[in-house]
Amino acid sequence: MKHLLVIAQRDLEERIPVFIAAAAAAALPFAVPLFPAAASFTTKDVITMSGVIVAATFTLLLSFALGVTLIGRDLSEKRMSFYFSKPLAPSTIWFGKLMAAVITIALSFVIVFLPMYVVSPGTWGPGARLEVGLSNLFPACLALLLAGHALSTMFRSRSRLVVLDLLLACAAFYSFGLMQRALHQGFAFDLMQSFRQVLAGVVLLILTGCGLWQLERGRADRLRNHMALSRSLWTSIAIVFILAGGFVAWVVHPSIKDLREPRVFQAPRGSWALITGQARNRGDYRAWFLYDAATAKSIRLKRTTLFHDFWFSRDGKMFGYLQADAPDRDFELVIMPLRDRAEPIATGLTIRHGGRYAISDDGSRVIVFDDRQIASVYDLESRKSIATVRLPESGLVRAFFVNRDRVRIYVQNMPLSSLPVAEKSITAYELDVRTKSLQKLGDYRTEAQAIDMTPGKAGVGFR
Amino acid sequence: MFNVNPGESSPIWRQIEEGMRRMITLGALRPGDLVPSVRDLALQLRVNPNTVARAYQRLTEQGVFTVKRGEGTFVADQPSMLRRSERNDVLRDAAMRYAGTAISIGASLDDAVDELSSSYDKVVREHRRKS
Amino acid sequence: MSQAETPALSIHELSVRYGRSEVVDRISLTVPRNAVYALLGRNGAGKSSLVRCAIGQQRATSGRVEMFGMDVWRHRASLMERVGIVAEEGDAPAEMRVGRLADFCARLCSRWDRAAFDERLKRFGIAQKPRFGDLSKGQKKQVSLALALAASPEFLILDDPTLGLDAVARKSLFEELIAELADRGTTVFLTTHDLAGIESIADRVGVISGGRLVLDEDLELLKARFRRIRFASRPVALESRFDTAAVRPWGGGTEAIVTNFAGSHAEIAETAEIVPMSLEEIFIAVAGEGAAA
Repeated sequence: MKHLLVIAQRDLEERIPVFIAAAAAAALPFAVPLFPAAASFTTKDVITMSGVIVAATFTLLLSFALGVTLIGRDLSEKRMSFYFSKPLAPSTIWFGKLMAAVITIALSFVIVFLPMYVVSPGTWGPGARLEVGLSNLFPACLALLLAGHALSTMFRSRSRLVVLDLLLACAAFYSFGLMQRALHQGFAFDLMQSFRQVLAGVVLLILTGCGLWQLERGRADRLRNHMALSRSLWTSIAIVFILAGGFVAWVVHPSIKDLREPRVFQAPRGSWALITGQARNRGDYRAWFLYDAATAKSIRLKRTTLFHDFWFSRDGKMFGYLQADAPDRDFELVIMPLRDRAEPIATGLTIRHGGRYAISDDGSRVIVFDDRQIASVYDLESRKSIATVRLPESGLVRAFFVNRDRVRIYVQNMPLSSLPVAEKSITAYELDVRTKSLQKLGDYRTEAQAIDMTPGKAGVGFR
Repeated sequence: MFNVNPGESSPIWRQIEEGMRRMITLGALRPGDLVPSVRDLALQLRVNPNTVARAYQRLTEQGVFTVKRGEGTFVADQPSMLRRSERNDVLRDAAMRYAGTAISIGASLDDAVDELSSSYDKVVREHRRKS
Repeated sequence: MSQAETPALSIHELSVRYGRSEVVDRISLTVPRNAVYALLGRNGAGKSSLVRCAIGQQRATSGRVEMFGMDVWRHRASLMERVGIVAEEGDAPAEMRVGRLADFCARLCSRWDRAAFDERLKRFGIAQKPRFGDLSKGQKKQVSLALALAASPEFLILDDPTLGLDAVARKSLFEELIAELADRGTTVFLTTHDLAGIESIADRVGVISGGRLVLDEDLELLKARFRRIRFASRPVALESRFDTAAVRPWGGGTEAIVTNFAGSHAEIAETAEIVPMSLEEIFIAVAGEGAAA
């Protein structure tokens, strides 16, 4: 549209000072090597590094500043009526100004970045890294531009409506956080990133559309612009978030049949097994199920750990696993009796990520090993520690309760050399809970490549 | 030329009409003379051109002006001024007003006639001067 | 309706409400083609809101506003091709130079007479180089008028065009307006406080007071029926003989502002003084004291 270019050109004519400032900023990286603090780095690297920082900072700040003045300044200085007294459609005005802003940002970036890039590609090198940087920078610029515009409209109207806007924005961010956390608990990092990016893209589109809507409805009036913007923005966001929420809800409720290439961990005895895998069509969202082959019943384990910190009793009647609200927090031990209509029992015991533990077959006692070779035995009913000993050696630990008062502990010494053919030794101990004494049983030596211990009814098997 | 006063009770178009007639009567505008265009008179008097156009239309209809296409508006060769009876009516209206004003301020007939006489002379002189 | 018949502006039962206060209360008025309509009103009477609705920049709470038969809110963009607007406050971008401003407008309007714009600016004594923001308030108005007229509009809307203008500039403005009326028969709608200035130019006058249109009349007829009549003593049954807007003591006698004076009342001249009223006096009588700014 011809008029669109007229509007864009008019805005651009006004931006000459910006380009002059960009040219000035382009000179900055070349001045940085002169500082004594930069002496320890090569000149090229300093110029490149500071050039990237200057270019990014300048462009981002510029984007926000442009967003704030895009329509906001004309609105508050009562100059929008000038445009509306011309034969211009609101879309012409909005997209013309947006176009001018985007061109200003792109041009300014080139002005600031190019001299540095041409003279001193430095450690960043031409090509590869540049695309990554740009592909992150320009969406960020667009976001700041549109966010600046929205904020400018909301604050310049001097209406109390802005309080509602802020509340809704907080609600939106909070909902987003909840959705992300739900995905996080399934360790769906790729999905989280895609989700983030798609949602961000949609929000940018919404902001663009709402900017147009506000001009169409609000025209030259500050307050009406704000009202139109808020109404359209939050309605659209609500719809999108409801759809996103629905999607997330669907993702976090896979059934056992949805698992792709599931890994199965059978209990030593009985028909129960732990099955885990990534769910089909749900990106890298992972789920854990306890499955009873006899009854085809499956129980979903929520908020558990990525690593296989679970435990089956030797008789296959007890199951223990770690649970946390977020994968980076401390975990709580949860015990699940493997029978019909069983409820998980939270033990209240906090186990650090990677900590080892074992549970007695009747589910009344737990032994926990921390990374300082300290073993503690807890009585789950009283939630009290009833025995604490220190292991003489450090290493990989496996244990099982022979009965509720005796624990067999195996420590696999890790040799200093990581050569695969090195000899590995395993020391066996027995801990008597009543006397709180640790008795060494013996050593084993093996050249096996990998050692895994599985406590059976009578002893332990090695592989 | 003449001035119009929006504050008078007479509408502006009538003031223009009367002004034109006065000028013709006093010889400031002679038969066959080109009359100022609507635009020019409107600008000069600072009035709406429609008002001027209305006065011109009446004057044309009454035979005081003639319009020659492409050339403009002219005073008719034999401008038909007001018939004697119309003229007397107009005079009587104005005289009644003047008499009423004079009486209300307590002026005598002689004073009123004297004032009328000198004002008549003054108007004639002003018109001669302006045109 | 044929082209000549659709009014330039047709406002029907227009109401504008802000929250709970009714700023414009069911106003209807029509501006016929080629007419000059002057809207008078005190500050805060609702004039600005009405004008904003008339030019499609504000949506009315209820009612209809049509220009040349088209709804102004919906068809604003295409209507602005035919309309020139001179806003109350110079709203052009402050950083733009006058000449660039003209270039900008030229590219948006299909009919543009740059020569006419340049000549007008010369007549106003304004150069093309200064930035719009550096001009005085009056000069901004003059530039806005020149810009509006350069597009040869069919309809000219002026919001308080003489505000901020000195006597010379005011004279210039009226001359431009009259020339425009003579040359193109432009329809004009203006709001003003300068009653003396528009008294010879307006065809129709509207008075807005408290959000209502208390008067909407041909100016000539209006002035014909308003008279200030001064009696030496209060006549018997004054109110039954005349409609009066105000009656007050005057010296030892009475002065009445009569609103329905007719030729048949002329006989009173024998016993009373009949004084015609200027538009300003009429406005004050209708809209209240201190009305004309």
